[in-house]
Amino acid sequence: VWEKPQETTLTPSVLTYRKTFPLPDAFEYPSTLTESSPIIRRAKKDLAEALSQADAMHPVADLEKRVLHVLHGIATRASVYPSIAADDNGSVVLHWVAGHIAIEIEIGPGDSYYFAVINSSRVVASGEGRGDLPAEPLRNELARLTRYAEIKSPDWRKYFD
Amino acid sequence: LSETDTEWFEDDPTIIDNDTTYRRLSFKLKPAVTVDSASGRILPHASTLQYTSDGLSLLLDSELKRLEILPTSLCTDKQTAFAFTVGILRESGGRIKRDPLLDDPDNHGEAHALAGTHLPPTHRDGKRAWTLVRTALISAAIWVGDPPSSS
Repeated sequence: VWEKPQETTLTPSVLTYRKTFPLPDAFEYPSTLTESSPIIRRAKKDLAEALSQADAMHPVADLEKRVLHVLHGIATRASVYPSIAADDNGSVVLHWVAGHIAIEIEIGPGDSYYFAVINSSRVVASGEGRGDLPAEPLRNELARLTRYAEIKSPDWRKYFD
Repeated sequence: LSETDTEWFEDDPTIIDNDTTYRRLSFKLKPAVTVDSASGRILPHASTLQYTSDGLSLLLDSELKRLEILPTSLCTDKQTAFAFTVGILRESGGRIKRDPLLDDPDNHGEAHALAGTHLPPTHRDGKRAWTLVRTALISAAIWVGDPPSSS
């Protein structure tokens, strides 16, 4: 079910970018996350907080399910944690930044999604649609972002405490 | 009105690149922030810069000065603010126009401005164009008060 790409756009610059940021050697996937993995536990807590602050317009349980499904599909135990917040449009936004690399995933009402990966002021991958997000580009880009964070700040986890 | 022509969102050249703009961020418990995992810097979260059908609501520093309003007054226990220059906005493809609100209860109305891009949010490539602007603003953002905490 997960591998169903919908209206994904991979820009030409993504090829150059991928040569510059090769995937880590020991790239672990599919996801080995469990309910007790820190990234999942944090996401549940952050999501509950974000939704309590927002004027949620659609069922919270459904949003949580979708956000966790996305994380199980793209993250590993090594992955940098997303910063999670709700916006005024009733979407939940997962946001990662590591220096010049950023990933945004919006999980919106009515099963909609939007994602973008930005590297040095260029959108290197993006997509918009309904249903499941295309896992492959996001999985790879999150692995690259994590690699970059690990190099710059081996103990990046302390920033999230 | 064509979706891509300048009529959608015309840039106002009377707002200079060196002008600073403030984005207010109200919150119930704590402001939405993102941690830069490579540096530990606390940044505004992407959700704080949503592109709506009006554009992004901002306050112009030049107008606040004229109104004799201190930027620090934008920070309260339920609101914080971050700043970036108009130049940063334009460099990333953004546009800005004045949008004075005459019935604004907090007296900032005359300083009100809107940011957007050449594409409305409903356009096929609208979100993508905005993503570039938003990313540039997030990395250039300077907190008006103390940076919020990450947890």
